[in-house]
Amino acid sequence: MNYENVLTTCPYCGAGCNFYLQIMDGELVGVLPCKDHPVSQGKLCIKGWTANEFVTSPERLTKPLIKRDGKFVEASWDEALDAVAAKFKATRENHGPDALAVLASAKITNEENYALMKFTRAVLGTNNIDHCARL
Amino acid sequence: MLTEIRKHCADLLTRKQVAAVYGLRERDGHTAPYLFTRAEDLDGLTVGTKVPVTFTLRPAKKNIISAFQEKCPGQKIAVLVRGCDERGLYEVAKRGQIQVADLAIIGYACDADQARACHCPRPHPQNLKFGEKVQGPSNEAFIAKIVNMSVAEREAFWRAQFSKCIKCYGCRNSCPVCICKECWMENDAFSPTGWLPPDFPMFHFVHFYHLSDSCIECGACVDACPMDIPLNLIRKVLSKKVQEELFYTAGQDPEEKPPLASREEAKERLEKGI
Amino acid sequence: MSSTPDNFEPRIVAFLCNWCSYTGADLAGISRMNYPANVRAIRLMCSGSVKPFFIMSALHKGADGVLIGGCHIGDCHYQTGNHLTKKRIPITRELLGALGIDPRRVRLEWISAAEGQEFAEVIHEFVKELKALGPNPLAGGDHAH
Ligand code: SF4
Ligand code: SF4
Ligand code: FES
Repeated sequence: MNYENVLTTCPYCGAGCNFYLQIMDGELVGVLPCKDHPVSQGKLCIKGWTANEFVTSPERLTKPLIKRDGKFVEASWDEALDAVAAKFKATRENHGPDALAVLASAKITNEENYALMKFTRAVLGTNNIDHCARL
Repeated sequence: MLTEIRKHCADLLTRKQVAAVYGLRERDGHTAPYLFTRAEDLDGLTVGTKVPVTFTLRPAKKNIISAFQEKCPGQKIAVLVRGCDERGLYEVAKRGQIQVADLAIIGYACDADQARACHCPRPHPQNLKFGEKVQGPSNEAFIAKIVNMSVAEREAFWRAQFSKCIKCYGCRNSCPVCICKECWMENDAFSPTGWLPPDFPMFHFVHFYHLSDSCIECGACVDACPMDIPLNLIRKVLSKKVQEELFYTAGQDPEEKPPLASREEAKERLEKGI
Repeated sequence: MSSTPDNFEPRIVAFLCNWCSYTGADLAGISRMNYPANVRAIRLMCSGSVKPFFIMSALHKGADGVLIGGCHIGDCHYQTGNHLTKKRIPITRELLGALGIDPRRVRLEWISAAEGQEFAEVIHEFVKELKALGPNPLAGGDHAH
């Protein structure tokens, strides 16, 4: 039998708690807090404690969907990214960069949010970036 | 101590006396449990940090050793334990989760600082192989804080403490002896889903009572609590009561029966000298 | 503890085993013995089926006292059910006390089917004691549900 722990960052919010995902013979079997992590110090909230559960949830979206004729159809990542890039470009050309806005997420890490901010300002060329935690 | 432990484990693996060594591995500055199957990986083996090796996998509701024994029946596995890890193993063994006979239990002692930090009265395993036994601090001094309060003061104290609870279930999840398939703490009768903080003292009462004769005083619940609720204060009061009333101490002997789940009279236990 | 109104009538939830204590309570009734009407009896097959969580629930939902009645040791109709009870209740009371709930609100009594008189006496005594203790501070809980 194989058993090991892989350190990762909690996907649920921006606090940056770390925990281990427990892997047994290639299967994800649970979450274990990381005692010596400076952010979470071995403590988690209920979302972190159950972060292994959504991975195998049948309700999880595992493929990109593109709306065609009013219905979502499965697409490849290339198709999906091409579609998004084309629409971004078209909007920026026709209406200027401020016609675009980006909504960041509390469910990704600080670093990912940083990258998103850079993408918005440097690539898209707009300051229109906000996040869903502005209540 | 670490060098000798690594050497001992390497010996066990190379002489094929065990199929695996279960212990702690340090990697990138962080320590986590690991199942060593190759002697050359043992360089990463570490001990002495307060990372437990016995805890219950969720949603499987069993620990790693019991998962191993299910997958590889009859295969021997060595487990590196501290006092509390061993006690945790014994408690789940009593409940039929693991076969102690198929384990090579290798124990090491905690030092006095660790024992003080854990408020641990027995900072060493029975299968002690490495390190020197030290005396743990007494529970009496620790629980005096609530023993000396009046009933009304205790209520005020715990109301304030439990009102901090965010129902993360960390205290249960990290407990080495919480193995129930159906957990009363998830029962809406005690604590409706989505209600915070949980009603005083329902949610916590269930956990305290259900562990009263199996709590091994490892402190894992307290360590896991993001709200710093001193759960071990009550657990130690109960352990004391169980000792006085039922002549029983959890985690001592895997052959014993948990008193609150067995029909034996406390007196019979005393006569048998257990 | 809040001051006790003069007309405070404690509510007692009594978990009584079918074979002894419930029949004992019945006998008290049939024999027209006088005892305070503060008891709500819940009949169970055995005192061993009273989970400590039931006791906690009763207190949380507003009972001022909880009585657990079972057969005398040796007389349980399931042989050892009351041996479990005998071990559980002291631990439950200790836990309640440590949490700041007066353990005197929980009482364990062995009452046989012939002991109607004893049942009546226990209720008299318990009511008196609970009146002195005053209303259960947990009554109503934190959330109304
Ligand atoms: S609880 Fe005791 S045995 Fe466990 S780590 Fe602490 S001191 Fe060591
Ligand atoms: S670990 Fe603390 S906050 Fe989390 S459920 Fe337990 S008592 Fe509540
Ligand atoms: S049947 Fe009366 S206590 Fe068990």
